[in-house]
Amino acid sequence: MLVISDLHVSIDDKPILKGLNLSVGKGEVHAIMGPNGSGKSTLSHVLAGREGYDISAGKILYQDHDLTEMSIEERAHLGIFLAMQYPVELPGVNNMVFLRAALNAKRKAHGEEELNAVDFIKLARQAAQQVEMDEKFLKRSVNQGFSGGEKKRNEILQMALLQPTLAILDETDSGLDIDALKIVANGVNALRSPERSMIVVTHYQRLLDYIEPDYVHVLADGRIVRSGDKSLALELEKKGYGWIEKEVAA
Amino acid sequence: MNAVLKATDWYQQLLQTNADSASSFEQMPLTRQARAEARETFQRQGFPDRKQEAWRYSNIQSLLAHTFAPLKPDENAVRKEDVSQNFIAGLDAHRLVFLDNNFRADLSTLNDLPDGVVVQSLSQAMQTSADQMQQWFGRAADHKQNSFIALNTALMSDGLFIHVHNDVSVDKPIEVVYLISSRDEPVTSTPRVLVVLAAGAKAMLIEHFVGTGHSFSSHNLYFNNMVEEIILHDSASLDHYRLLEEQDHAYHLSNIDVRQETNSHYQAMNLDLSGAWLRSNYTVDFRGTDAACQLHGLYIVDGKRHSNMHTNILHHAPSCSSAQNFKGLLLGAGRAVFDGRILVDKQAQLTDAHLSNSNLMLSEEAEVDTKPQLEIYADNVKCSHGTTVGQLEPEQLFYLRSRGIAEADAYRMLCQGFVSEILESCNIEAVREHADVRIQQSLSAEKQI
Repeated sequence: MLVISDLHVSIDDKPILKGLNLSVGKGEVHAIMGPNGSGKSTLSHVLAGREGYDISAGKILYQDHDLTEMSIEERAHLGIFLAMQYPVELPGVNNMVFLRAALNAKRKAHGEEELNAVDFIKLARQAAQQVEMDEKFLKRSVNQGFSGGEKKRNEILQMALLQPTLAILDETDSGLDIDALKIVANGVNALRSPERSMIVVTHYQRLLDYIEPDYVHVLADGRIVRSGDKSLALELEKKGYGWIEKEVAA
Repeated sequence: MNAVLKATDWYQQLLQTNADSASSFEQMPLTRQARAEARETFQRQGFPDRKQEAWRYSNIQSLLAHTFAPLKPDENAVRKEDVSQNFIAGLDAHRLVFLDNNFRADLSTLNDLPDGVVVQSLSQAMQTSADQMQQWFGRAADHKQNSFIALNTALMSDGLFIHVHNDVSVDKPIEVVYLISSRDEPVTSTPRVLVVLAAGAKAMLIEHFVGTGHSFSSHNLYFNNMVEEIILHDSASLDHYRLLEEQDHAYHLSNIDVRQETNSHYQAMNLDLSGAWLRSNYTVDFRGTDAACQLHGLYIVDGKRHSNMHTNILHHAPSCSSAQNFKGLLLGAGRAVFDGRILVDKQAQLTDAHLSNSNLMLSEEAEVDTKPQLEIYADNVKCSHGTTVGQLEPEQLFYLRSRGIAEADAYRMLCQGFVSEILESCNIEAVREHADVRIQQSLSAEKQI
C-alpha cells in the first residue's frame, strides 16, 4: 500500500530525513516513535503534501501513485488523512460548512453525487456521537476556542466523516489528559478496519496502551533505526531513547 | 493650469449657474441662505489638499480631473423593470427610489407607513414638514468643515427626509435605492438626507447605491457627493445600513453627520462593495449622556479601486460608549485608507470607546494605510484601539487543502471567514445575504484565485 524508499527531505537546506524506508500494508497500524527532532512531524507533513519541504531523493508510493507528484488535495482525495498535532483555528469558518465542503470535495473527486445539507447533518451528528463531541461544536467556527481535547476530537470526527484509507495521527496524544486521550483513542479504534491503514506518530508509549499497533518503528536522526512489534515500545518506555541513539551513532 | 485650480474654477462656475436657477431650495429662506453661505465657503476654501491631515492619504486628483455636470433627471433613462432588479431580494421594507436623485413615487412603495412616520423627498418636506426642516436642516453637517459638504449644500437638488414621532417604532426597514442612469457625459449627483428621530423613536434605514449602466463603460462616470444629517433625540435608536455598489468608474463621497442626545443609540454598517473611488466620513457627536454608537464596516477593494473610510467620534458628553470594527479585504491593485479618530473631551468622564481595524492583504500590489487616533482629555475612561494588517496563514490553507478542499475554495472560505464577524452584526438577514453573495462574487472574480 504505502512504500517509502530511501526518502531524503530537507528544510532550508537542513537535512531532516536521511534515507527513510517504510512499508505499511493494508489494514495495518504502524507506530512511529522517536525523540524530539528525529523527523517524525516532517514525515507526517511530507506524506500529506505540505509545502516548504525539499524532497531531494527517494520515493513515496501509495496505491501505486507517486505521492510527490500530487497536490495536497489530490492526496486527500486518494484517501490520505493527517490528524494534526496542532489543529489550526479558522475564525469565521463554520465547522459544519467546512466538514461538508471537505466531504463533498472528496465525493466529487470520486464521481459521486454531493450530499445536500439535510443528509449531511445526519451524517455529521452520527460522527459527533461516535467521538463523543457535543453537537454545538459543529455550529462553531472550526477549532476556534476549542480546548486541546475538543480540537483532537474534531480531527477524529473529520476522519470518521472522510473515511480515509491511510490515516496519519501526528502526536495525537500531545496536550491531552488521560480522559481526553481515552475518548480520542476510542474514536480511532472504532475506525480501525481491514481497509484502513494507520500511522501513529508519538513520542510516548502511553498512547499505544490505547491504540495497539501491529508494528513499532523507531525514528532517529532521519532514519528508521529499529522495527519490531509492540514490545519495542515497552522497551523504549523503560530505557528511553538514549541507548538507541548511541547504538545508531556507534 | 493644474488640475485642482481647473476643477475649482469649474465648480465655481457651476455654483454661479446654480445660484440663478429656480431650485425649490431657493424658495425657503433657510435653504436659500444655506446655499448662499455654502457658495461663499467653497469660494473661500476651495478643495482640500494633502497637507490637511484628513486628506493626506485620500488622493482626490483623479476625482478633480473630471468635469462633472449637474445631473438632470431623465424620465426615460431607465426602464421600470431594470429598477426593481436593484432591490434587495427578500427584503420586506418601505421603499423609496431616487432615480438620478429625483424621487420617483411610481417606483416607490410607501403606502403602508405607520402613523407618526414621515418618509418623503426633501423637496416634499419643504412643503409639508417645513417646521422640522427649519429646526434641523444644516445643524449636524457643517459646510465650513468640508468643501464637499459645501458643494453638496450649494448644488443640492433633492434627497431624503425621514421623521419618526415620539416613541414610534417603524414596523419594517426603510429601504432607499439611489440609482444613477448611464449618461454620455460625466455627471454629479448631490443627494441630501435629513433623518430626525424624536424621543424614543426607532427605525432601520437601508441605503443602497447602485449604477444602472453596463460595467466597464465610460458612460458610467459619475460623482455621488452626498450629505446625511441624522438627529437622534433622547432614547431614539437608528440602525443604519449603507451598501455602496457604485459602477466601475464611479466616484462616491459621503459625509454622514450624526448628532446623538441622551441615551440614544446609533448602529451603522457601511459596506464598500464596488465603485472606482469611495470615501465615507462618519462624524458622531455625543451631546447627551449614556448614548451609544456602533460602527461596523467592510471594504473590499479589487482591481484598481480606492476605498477611504474615515470616522470621527466626538465624546463631548460623559458616560457614552462607542465601538468601531472595520475590516478590509485587499485584492489586485486595490487601495484602502482607514482613518479612525476618537476624541474624548475633558468633561466626557466614564467614556467607553473602542476601535478595531483589520486588513487582509491578498495581493502584493494592494496597499492599505490605517491610522487610528485617540485624543483623550478626560482621566476616567476606558479606551482602546487596535489595527492589524496581515495575510492568509499558510497553515490555514494547508489545513483546508489537506481535507480535500481545492485551493481556490479554501482561499474563499478563509476570506469569507475573515469578513463574517462584520456581517454577523447585521440584524437584517436579507441585507446580510445580499452582501454575502456580492462578496463571493468579488472573490470569485479575482483572476489569481
